[in-house]
Amino acid sequence: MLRERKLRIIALFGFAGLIVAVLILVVPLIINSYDFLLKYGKELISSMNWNPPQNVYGGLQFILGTLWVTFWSTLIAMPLSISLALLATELSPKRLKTLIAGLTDLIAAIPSVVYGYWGLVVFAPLLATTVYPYLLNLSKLPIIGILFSTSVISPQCVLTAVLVLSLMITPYATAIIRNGYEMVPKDLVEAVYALGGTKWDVIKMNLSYIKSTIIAGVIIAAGRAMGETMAVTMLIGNNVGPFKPCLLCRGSTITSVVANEFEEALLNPYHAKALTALILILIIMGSLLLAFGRRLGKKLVEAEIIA
Amino acid sequence: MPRLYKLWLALIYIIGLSALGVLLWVLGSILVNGLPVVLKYGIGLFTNNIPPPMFLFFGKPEVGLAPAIVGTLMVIGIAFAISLPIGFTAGILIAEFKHSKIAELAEELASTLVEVPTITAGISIYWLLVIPMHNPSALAGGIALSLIMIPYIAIYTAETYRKVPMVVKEGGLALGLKYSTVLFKVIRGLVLPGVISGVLMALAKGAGEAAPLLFTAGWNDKVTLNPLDQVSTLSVLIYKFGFSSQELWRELSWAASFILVFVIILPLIAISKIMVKKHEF
Repeated sequence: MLRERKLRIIALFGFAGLIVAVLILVVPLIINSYDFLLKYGKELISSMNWNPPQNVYGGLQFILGTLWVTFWSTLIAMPLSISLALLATELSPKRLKTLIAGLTDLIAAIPSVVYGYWGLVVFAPLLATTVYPYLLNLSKLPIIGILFSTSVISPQCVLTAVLVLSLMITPYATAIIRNGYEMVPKDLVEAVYALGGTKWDVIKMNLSYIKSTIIAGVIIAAGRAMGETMAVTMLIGNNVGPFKPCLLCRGSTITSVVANEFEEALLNPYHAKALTALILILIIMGSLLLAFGRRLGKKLVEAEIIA
Repeated sequence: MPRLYKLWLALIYIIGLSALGVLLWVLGSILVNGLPVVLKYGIGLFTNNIPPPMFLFFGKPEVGLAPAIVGTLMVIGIAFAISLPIGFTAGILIAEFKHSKIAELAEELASTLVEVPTITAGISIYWLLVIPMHNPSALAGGIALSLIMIPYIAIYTAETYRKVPMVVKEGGLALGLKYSTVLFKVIRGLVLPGVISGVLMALAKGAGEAAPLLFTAGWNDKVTLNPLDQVSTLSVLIYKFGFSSQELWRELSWAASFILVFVIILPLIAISKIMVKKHEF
């Protein structure tokens, strides 16, 4: 039946369209960063000295910044999304469940640039006057002190970007975890109750049963955080200096430096190509993360559909 | 310590509810800050041009978002026209030719495309179209957005067609109908709500994107309908005016956020959710 000619043409059209889309997305990046990478490639991933007017292109701080921001926002989003998923499944009366689930889905649709603007005007000033002064006191502590050591408190800093980013990715992870939670066979739940288990035992059993779904959700959320542009650019403070493992400092990521500098970079061909090369590196980083996730289980593909 | 688990439950309640609270705070802020601006300028907001910087005019400027609203619709329209045929046919391929290598590859490509950072589309299209055409344009912006919408439409279409029970299709085939007739005529009523809902989700996603448009759609403070002209969009306006020190421009950022979220995106999502709800197998 699938030999039918009309259907084959349709399928072929769709396939060609997808291939063209992928080529359009990747080929211009390669063509326009190829000669740059040959000349400055090693410097780009090993040095932290970024000075385009002098044709000095050390971009390691952006790569590390991206990983740093992704790590923290995923770490914070994890308990948020698991708790929210439990609220929307196990821990609320039925009517409230659908309300919470519907709300998180709606909120997932708020654009990144709107989150960024809200963070800039509402959230960041509030954090800078209430929370950050206390965090600054922690900078005297050994080891973790380095996270909070900065000379001046700036409303736009790594932590602001991380907090808003973790809020943004929470609905995605919540949707995936919620979906997995509802798939747990009911007889398992009954079995736990039959053995005299409490609601807490049921939750523990369910969560360990859907471990791979949770991991898939977290990886998808981390991938979204990694490629997120607008909110990060608006909130991270855009300091292109060397990377510091610090949360209260102003920082930068690959996406933020590209969004900030690409327009002016067009005056200097190598500058624009350096930013293009950074985007290429970002794609590779994202693909590695997803490939790592795929190795952990088939659940990832299903999770992508839900998110 | 048999009661320790109650402590854990309480902790989950607190974390979950505060996460929900902060998310509602975001939504509430847009409403509280955006709606008054929309009411203040009224209908003029939808018909007037974007005001120039404060020092460039004397007296009362006309205040509006019309170029950004029209620009958003144009860019989305172009993206829709490109991504619907490709996304839909790719979805059919993924769902109906399963077990073939080409369909597996297509599914892999679609699920990879979804996860590509959206700013990538902006940079690629910049090199591919904006440089040769010497000018950003609504067309370039629309093509950049279509790259983001195609995989969404493909995945949703495939999901919808997959959900149709095999017996239904076999029923049609048993009558001697062609497979294409079964797919596009017999089960049309079953799949249409799902496909439309997917398309609406993709439109909602595209409407909010700023990163792919930053360098491809350009900026225009007057209304234009020429797809080869530069256009501003609501999302880019929120970004550009958000950093401004001018009170008026920041107000417009709130108004644009309100229109984008409450007038365009949330209704699209709501309709899309209702459509699939009605049609569950």
